Amino acid sequence: MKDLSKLEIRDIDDPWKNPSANGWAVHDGSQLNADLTLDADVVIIGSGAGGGVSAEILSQAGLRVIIIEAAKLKSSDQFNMDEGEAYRDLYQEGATRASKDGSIAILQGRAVGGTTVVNWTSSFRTPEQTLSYWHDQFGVSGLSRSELDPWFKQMEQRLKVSKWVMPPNANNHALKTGCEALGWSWSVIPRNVDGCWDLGYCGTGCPTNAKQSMLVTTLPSAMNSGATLIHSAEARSLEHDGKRVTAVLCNALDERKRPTGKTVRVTARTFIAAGGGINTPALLLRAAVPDPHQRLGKRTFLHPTTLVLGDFAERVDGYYGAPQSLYSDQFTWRDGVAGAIGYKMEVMPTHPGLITSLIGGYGSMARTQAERLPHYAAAISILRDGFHDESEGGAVELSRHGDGVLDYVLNDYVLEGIRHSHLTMAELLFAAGAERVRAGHGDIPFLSSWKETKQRIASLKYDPGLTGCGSAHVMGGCTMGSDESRALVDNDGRYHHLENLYIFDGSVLPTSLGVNPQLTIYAITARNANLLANRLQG
Amino acid sequence: MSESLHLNRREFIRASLLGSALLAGGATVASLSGCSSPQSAADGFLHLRPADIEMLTPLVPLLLAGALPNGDADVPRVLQRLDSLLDSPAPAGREALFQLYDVLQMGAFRWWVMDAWAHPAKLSSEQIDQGLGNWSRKQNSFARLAFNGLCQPLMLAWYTDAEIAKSTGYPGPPRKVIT
Repeated sequence: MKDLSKLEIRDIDDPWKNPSANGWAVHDGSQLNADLTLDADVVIIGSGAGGGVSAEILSQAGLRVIIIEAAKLKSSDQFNMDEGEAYRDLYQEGATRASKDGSIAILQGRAVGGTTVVNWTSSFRTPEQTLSYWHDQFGVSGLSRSELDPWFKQMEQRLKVSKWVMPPNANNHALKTGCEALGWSWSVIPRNVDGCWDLGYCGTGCPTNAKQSMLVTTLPSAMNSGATLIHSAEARSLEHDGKRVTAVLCNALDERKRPTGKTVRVTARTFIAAGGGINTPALLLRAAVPDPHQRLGKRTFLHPTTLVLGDFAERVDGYYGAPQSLYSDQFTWRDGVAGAIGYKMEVMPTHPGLITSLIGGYGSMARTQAERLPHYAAAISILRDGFHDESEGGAVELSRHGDGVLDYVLNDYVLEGIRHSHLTMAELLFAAGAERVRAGHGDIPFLSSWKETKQRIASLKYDPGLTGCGSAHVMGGCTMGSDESRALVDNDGRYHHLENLYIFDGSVLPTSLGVNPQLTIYAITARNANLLANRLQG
Repeated sequence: MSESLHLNRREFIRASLLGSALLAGGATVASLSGCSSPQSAADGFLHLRPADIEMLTPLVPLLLAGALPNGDADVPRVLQRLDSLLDSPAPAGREALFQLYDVLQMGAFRWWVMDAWAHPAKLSSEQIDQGLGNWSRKQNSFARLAFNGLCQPLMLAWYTDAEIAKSTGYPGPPRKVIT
């Protein structure tokens, strides 16, 4: 692909350039000189996929909405595509978040707009198999294919979701070539973009505002409808009497994300937790909300994600171009819905910080690998966790500082899937023409034959500390369903044990999905926020 | 720090079975070993302590071999970038990394993972390289998680430097022009 480093991006309109000129009510927690107290009809805690969609729907319904966001407002004028700055400013814990034992790196957004600001735009409807599993195993109702599809359609239109029509970059093209050589299925990914420049910087904040993240769609719309945004304010607790929530308490944060000592307290009739997996359960744990069956934070899923690199003779330039445009479901249901763990195959972009830190190693070997960066195709598999008795996911707990920590153990069930996916992706990349392939495991180098790679992977020890694994999809922890002994929220997102608390984010998902989660969160939230708007107006 | 803690290797391996919890927020190694590192950051740093800098300085040229255009002269810049990166984790995540740095101050731990009891500052480059090689190949999950804990933040900190990123052949991002 053409060298894009000489390209200039100019004349991009940033909707957040001058909020007050738009008549928008924006409070920057870091600038507060005194404690702030506000009142609203609805408080939304978090501004990502769930919070953004909720904010638009509820403010357009005429309700007084306040959105609380821990991250500092950052928007397209500041999206300079610098990897390090983006990780620091737009990711949870500066992109260093990990599971408790350190075995799983967790990439999760932390921004006004949440993870939607940094995701790679893949927009899939929830698979039929997953929806049926929720119905059969968790008593989820109202979310069948036919009941949810109108909401998918609405959100796809709202966020300009359509299959990518440009040619895939060479990284994605390798997935197609390999699948075709092996007779495996592949297809084109629907993306939420409008006028995409095909640059490859979705993960550092879209510099052209083509990505239809919450930052440039639902949040500006909510602000136009009178919503208030408080950013740099981290929700730390909820005031409640065991029946109703009365206020949310926040710490104002400075530029380094440390409490300034000033607080924000917002009272309201209705509260929506929308901080996403890990953070929403952590808030509710800190607030000691009623949880009679000890379910808070349990069944948190990650789509454990594995990586295999293919080294091609020609340049791949996998950091340029739409990062994800093709996928394969050849192995997503490889042993049925509830058997051995299945996985969806996609690719990931190959920016230097991300790839060098993920492939591991040290010294001259790591350097030799780094110097081949432009030649790598990077295949990934996202493993469907949560569909089997041996896949209960992880549990969110609180550190001694009160922050959420995810204890997720890579057990034999998941490790078998990691090995299987390594084999599959190595075969795929050799079939696509890679000269050398390396599975994401610390004990295997780049090898030049599929036969040897297959033998080596088969004999490797798979163990949490030895194999590499990551996650970009945190789901669950506040399971929805009708059975109160197993679920925390009902089918409409209302918390079973507090009458005015709702959870509208990925933490309500009873299992992982088998697809990238953003569109599922948009659609379920759109459904539930409309129900809530009707209820509050009724 | 004194090396008064005399665990034999088998005892240490047994202790390390608890290692994940230990690294992830349990009792500090310093309190277990009866000695403690100063908790305050070194001059010019937000988080790294003098003992961390002393320990990391001889390791960095080996860990990032080939990636330092100015050789050892780049080590201070590496440590500054690492220090900046360490400003972002939640406190518990940062503490876990500092517990790894603390445990690296223990001869017994170094003996277990690197086959070298001595402090890195007293080892030759060859000995450190060999020690890191031993560590990187250990078939013990905790040891390998610890090794990743040492390497991964350094890689992330260093290769997100625009100049170093380009040394991989990555041409760099487009330029955003604000008018």
